[in-house]
Amino acid sequence: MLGYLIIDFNEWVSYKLEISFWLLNTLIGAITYAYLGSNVALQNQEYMAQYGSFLSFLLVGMSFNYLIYASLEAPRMAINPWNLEWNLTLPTSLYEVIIGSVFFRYLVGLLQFTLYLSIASAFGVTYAIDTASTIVTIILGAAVMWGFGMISAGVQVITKRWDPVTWFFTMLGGLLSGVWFPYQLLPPSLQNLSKVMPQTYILEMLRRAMLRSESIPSLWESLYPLMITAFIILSIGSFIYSKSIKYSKKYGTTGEF
Amino acid sequence: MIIADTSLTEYAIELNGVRKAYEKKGLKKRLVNALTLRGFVGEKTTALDEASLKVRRGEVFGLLGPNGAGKTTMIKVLTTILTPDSGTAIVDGFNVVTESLKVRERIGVLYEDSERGFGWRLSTWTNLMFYAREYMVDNPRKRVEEVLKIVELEGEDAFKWFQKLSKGMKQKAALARALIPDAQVLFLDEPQRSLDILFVLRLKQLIKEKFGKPGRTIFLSTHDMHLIEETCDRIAVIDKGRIVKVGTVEELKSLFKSMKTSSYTLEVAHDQIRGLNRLAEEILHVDGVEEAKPLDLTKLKVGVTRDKPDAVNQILKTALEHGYHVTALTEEEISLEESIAKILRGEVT
Repeated sequence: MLGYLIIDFNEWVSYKLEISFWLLNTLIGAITYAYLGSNVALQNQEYMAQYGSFLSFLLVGMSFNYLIYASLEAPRMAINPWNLEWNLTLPTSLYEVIIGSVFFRYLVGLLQFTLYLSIASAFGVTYAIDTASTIVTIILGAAVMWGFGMISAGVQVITKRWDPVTWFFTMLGGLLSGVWFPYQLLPPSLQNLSKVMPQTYILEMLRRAMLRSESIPSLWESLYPLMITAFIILSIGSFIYSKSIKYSKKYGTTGEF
Repeated sequence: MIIADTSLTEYAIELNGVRKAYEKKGLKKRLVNALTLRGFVGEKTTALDEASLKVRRGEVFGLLGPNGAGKTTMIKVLTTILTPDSGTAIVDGFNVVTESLKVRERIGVLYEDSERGFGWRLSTWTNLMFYAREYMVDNPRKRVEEVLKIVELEGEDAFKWFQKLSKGMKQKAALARALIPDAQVLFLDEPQRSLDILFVLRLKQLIKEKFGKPGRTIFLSTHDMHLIEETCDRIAVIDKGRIVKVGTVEELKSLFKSMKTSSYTLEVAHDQIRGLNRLAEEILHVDGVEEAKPLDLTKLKVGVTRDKPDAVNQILKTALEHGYHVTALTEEEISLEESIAKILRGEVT
C-alpha cells in the first residue's frame, strides 16, 4: 500500500507546474460554483428575459463549451507522445494529420452540443434560432478556439503535460467568459479580463443567434472582428504548432512524456 | 531545389558527417540560461559524431554497437524523426530534412519501442487498415492480408484487441506495419525483440529474401549477433556516435589476422598425477608463447605471437617430450561477437 502511495506521489510531483495549477483549478472551480449558487441577480427574471430564461442562457453556454473543449483538445490529442513519432513517420503533411485527427472529436462535440439542446427542449426550454448566423458563429468560434488549441498543443509538445492555454480557456473561461452566467455580473476588475477572452464574444453572439434569432447583418459588428481574430489566432497557432514540432525533432523529444 | 533522380544514385542511404547532440539539461535550465544572458544552450551529449556511411541499394546492412552508441538516433535521423545538427542524410535519393515527405513515402519503419502508434483497444487488423490507408496503398485490405500472412498473425489473433496480444505478437504486428507500404528501404530496429525461436528463424529467412522484394534495402540495427551474421551483407560498428568499422562479416573477423597473438587450445589425455600446471610451465618456455593456462583437466589455452610460426610445432614437441598424450591442437575461431567486442575495446585497428 505504502509503495503505491509513494510511487504515485513521486510521479505526481514530477509534474510540478501541473500541481500548482491543479490547486488553482480547485480554487477557481469552487469560486465559480459558489458565485453561481449565491448570486441573486441570476434569479432576476428581468435581467435574464433578453435570453428567454436563465436555463436557456445556461444551456447554450454549457453545450457550446463542449465544442470549445473539442477545439482546444483535438490538436493536442493528435500529437500526444504515444502517436507523435508515428504521425511524423507517415507520408502525410502535419496539417493533414491534425485535421484528420480532429475531425472525429468535432463530430462528437457537435453531437454533445445538439444532444444538450434537444434534451433541454424536451424539458420546455425554447429557442429562437437564426440558422445562418448560428452556423457562422459556431464555425468562427470553433476556428478561433482551434487556433488556441494549436498554440496549446505546441506548448505541450515542449512542456509534455501542462499547458497554460487550455487551462486559461477551460478553467478561467468557465468563470469569466459567460458560460454559466453573464460576465456583466462579475466585479468590474474581472469584467476587464472577460473582455479580452474571445469566448466571451463567441458565447454572446451565439446566444443572440440562438435565443434572440438575430441575423448575420444584425451580428455583423461582432462577426467581422471575430473573423479577423480567427484568422490571426489560426495563423499564430499554426506557426507555433509547426515550430514546436521542429523543436521536438531538434531536441529529440518527440517520443517523450 | 534540385530533386535527385533516384534511379541514378548508387546508394540507398548516405550519411555524410552527420552530427547530433542532445541537451543534457531540460528546457527549464535552458530558459534560465537564456534569461541570465548565458544563451539558450546547455551541456550536450553527443549521439552522432560526424557519422558517415553509405549503404548500397538492395543491401542488408547491419548496425552494431553498445548501448547508447547512437544506433537509434541514426535510425531516427534517417526516418526524419530527428533533425541532424549538421551534415547530410540522404535516403533513396532524398534529403531527410529538406525532402522529408518524399523520404517518408519511400520507407518502412520498425522502431525499437514498436508498440507505439497502435490503438490498444483496436484490433491489429483495424490498426493496419488505418496505416494502409495513410500510406495510400492500392488495395489496403489485400495488403493487410499479405503482411499479416508474412508475419504469421492471421486468423483470430488479427482481430483481437492489440492490448490482448502477447509481446511477441505485438512485435509481429509492428513488423507488419513496417511492411505495409512495401517500401524500397526498410529500417528495422531490434526486429527480433520478444519473438519466439521459430519466428526468429523465419525472420532471418525473410530478411535474407528482403521480404519478397529483391531490390529492397534493409537497414538493421540489433544486438543479436546471429541475426547480423546470418543476414547482413555488410556491417557498420558504431561507438560513441562514430562509425568505427564498416565491412562484411568475414572482413571484420579477418581483422584478427593482423593482431599480434593468436589463441590455441591444446587438448591432452587426462594425467591424474601431474595435471596440466606442469605442462603450462614448460610451454611458457617456448619462444613465442605469451600465455599458457589450463582451462580444465584436459585443455590448455595457449597464446602465441604471430611472428613465431614455429612456436606451434615447439608446443607440440614440448608436450610429447614430457610424456603427454596430445589429442588435439586447434586454433580458436574468432566469433563475430568477439570481433566486435575487440573492435569496441580498441584492440583491433
